[in-house]
Amino acid sequence: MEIKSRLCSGIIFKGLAAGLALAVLIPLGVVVLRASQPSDTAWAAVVEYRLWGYVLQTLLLVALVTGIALAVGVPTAWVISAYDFRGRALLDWLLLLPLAMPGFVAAAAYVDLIGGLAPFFIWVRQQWGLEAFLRVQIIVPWVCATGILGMTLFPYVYLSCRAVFARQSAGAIEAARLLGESAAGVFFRVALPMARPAIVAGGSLVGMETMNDYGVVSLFGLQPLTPGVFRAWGEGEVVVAMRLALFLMFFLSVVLVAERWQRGRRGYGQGSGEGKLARVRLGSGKSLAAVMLCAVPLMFGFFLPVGRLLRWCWDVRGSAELGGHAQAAWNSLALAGGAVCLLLGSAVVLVAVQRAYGSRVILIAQKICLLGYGLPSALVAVGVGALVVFLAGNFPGAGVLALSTSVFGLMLAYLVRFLAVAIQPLAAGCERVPGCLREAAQTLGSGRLGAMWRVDLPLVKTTLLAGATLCFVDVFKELTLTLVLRPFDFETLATRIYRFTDEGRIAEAAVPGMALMVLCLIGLFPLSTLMKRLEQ
Amino acid sequence: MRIIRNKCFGVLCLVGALQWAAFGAELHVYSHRHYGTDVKVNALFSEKTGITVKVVNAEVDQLVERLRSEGESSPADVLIAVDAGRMQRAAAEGLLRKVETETLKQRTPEALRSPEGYWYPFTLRARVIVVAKDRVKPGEITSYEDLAKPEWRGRLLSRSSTSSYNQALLASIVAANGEQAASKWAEGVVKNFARPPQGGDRDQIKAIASGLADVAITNSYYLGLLLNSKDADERAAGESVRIIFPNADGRGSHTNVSCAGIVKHSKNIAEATQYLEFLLSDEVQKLYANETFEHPVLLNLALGEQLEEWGEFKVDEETFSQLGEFSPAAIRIFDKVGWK
Repeated sequence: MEIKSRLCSGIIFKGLAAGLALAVLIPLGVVVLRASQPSDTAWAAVVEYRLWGYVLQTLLLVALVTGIALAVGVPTAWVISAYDFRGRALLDWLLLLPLAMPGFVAAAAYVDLIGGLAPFFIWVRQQWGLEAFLRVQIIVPWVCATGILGMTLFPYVYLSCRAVFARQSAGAIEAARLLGESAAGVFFRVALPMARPAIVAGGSLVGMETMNDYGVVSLFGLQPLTPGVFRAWGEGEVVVAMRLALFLMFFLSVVLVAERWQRGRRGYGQGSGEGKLARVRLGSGKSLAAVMLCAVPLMFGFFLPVGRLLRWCWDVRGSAELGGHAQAAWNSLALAGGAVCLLLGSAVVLVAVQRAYGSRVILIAQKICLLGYGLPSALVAVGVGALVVFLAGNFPGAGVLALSTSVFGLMLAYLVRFLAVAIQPLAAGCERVPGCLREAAQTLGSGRLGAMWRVDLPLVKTTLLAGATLCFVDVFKELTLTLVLRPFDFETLATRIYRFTDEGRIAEAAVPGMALMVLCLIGLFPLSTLMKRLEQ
Repeated sequence: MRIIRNKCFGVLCLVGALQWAAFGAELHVYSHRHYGTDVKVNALFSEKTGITVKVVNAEVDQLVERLRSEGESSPADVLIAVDAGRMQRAAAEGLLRKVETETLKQRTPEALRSPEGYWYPFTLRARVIVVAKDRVKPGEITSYEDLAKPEWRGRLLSRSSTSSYNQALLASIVAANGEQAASKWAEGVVKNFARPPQGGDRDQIKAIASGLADVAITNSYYLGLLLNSKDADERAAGESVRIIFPNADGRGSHTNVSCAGIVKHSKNIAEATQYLEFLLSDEVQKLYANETFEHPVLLNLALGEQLEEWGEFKVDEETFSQLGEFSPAAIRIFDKVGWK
């Protein structure tokens, strides 16, 4: 009887895991299926007039943003890791802040800047004539959009390089210093080459986020692939949207494959783990330079936008539509809360239950689910959207209402995109728990699930919490999927900020913008302390 | 067990009946409009009739898509759009229901409503040209066609072609001059842009005030909103431009409408008809004329001071009925000439 029930629960979990893997693959399947359908003249028109521009703009955007993020992230990580100066500890913490500033919130703070630059444009026209005037106005939105994305995304590079500089390559760096290498030499000839995998990993994350961005690029009128997919989708050109999404998928895969390839080609020793890098004390002049190096990106990526948002919040005090904001905030919280439960539950099935049963099926499902993070947001959005439309078409009447008024599509999309975010910390945590503990529990008469519940999960509580926080923040500030898949007449803080900014009601976007940022910050805070603790 | 079940059923029925009684007088409006004035108008309607108005706001394309998929189970009674072309298409798809009353007929111009009575306009939205008072002389621009002339190179502003306002404008030009001429016109306009299209209509007016360009295409009420803004800078921006109602000597200015129709599967037809008539009452027309600065549907300018100041204008009735038909052509042209 007991064996039977165990077998039964094993099958249930395998089924669940297979279902999750299927859910992750469905959007891609739908997109491939629809993209292969014949299209009328619409696709030909897109190929003739728009495709080349989309591709070119995507490549340029990714190159510029990644370049900026690297140029900011690597030197700041180096300065913070290798030197000691007044304010270093504070800056080390502050440099994470831009992570709490979603690009489209920062964009709301900067979007009126272009209007404010009119005197400069007019001056250019007077000095260099009409052509220069026209050209400058094409360049400035690019500068703004790439600058904002670069300044808010650089912490990804900072974080990954920081860990390498501080620990993994500490021995080599110390040796180079002892052998009399100059400061620049240590950086360029030792630290930088050793940090290459970390740099590429951080850079590819930035590239991915940039490709998935919809808010910033569309607010500044850039036209890379992601807004292109949504434009076609909005115009009802489903096949065109699907094909453009596949283009996006292609470029994203190139980034991911390149990252894998460079990592696998050469072995990078973890170092002997001989401890932390001793920080060199800087003189007052150099200290100031180091502080400036870290403060400037912080200024543009965090404090300036926060300052402007605060001022607008003050301006609209009293007249703000608090009811609407509160409703949107509640929607955001409920969505993120629900998504976290769903994601964590799924991650537990895929990781902890897998360990308990040692099931290969679940392990394969887990690997498939990790792929979801590599799917472009736009592809997930239109794939799930098409699925919902298909289901609605087959269950007309009440079924349609149930689908279009519920968050079904949205939750499915979050599951696809963010399951990896929940799985990875949990998997890392579980690996540290010795299997013998669970075996001991089982020897003492506990069932597989009982052992998991009472031994494994309590031991990975912290990483579970870290995963939950990451998922919460990710869903909470998600814009791209939410814009397309949200139920009818349903606003989250993110979509509300985007709508207000898009309509030019920037002051009104400030209140939800600040709310979103503060809540992300609250989520980020325990995470950074947690990370510090894990580091120690 | 059975008794309990029966009791539960009874309670459920009672709750259902109570809900029906409490929410019986309810009107569901799917609307593209989301100004504060619209909220006010609905509150006024509820006050007068005791009918609660429940509004669902979204882009009209989404609303139509939703009506399509909901079919008979749709809770919607009234559909409100801000583009006649889209309403024409919704009617052609069979999503709307015919309604004809004396009030609706008398209070709307024949040329600007659905000939079969599927929908009625309730505000007019003229797409006008504004020019910098100090840099463009009166009479230099009188028509949309003038905007494509080479002397305006680097001096013209417009929002993006994804806006339904621009799509309807170009559709009207296709209807008036043919697709080829319209394409040439759009090409000329794009060449004259002082910057790639960005922002909304208000942003174009503000950009003229800042000296960036001299001419812009905008809906008239955006200028009204700026001129009557609480913000001094916005008022100054509005003051710096002159409004031109184009093609006064020809077909008239391209004018779109806010329009309302009753949804095919509405269950509250009497209330919905009452709502449509209410939108055309003097009281509501005056509210719109003074708060959103849209033109009353019969152009009785006396209703609003700002409108009186702008004066009479000729509505392009010639191309109006073809806006929906030529909108795909307009989108094609925008793509071809690279109007972002």
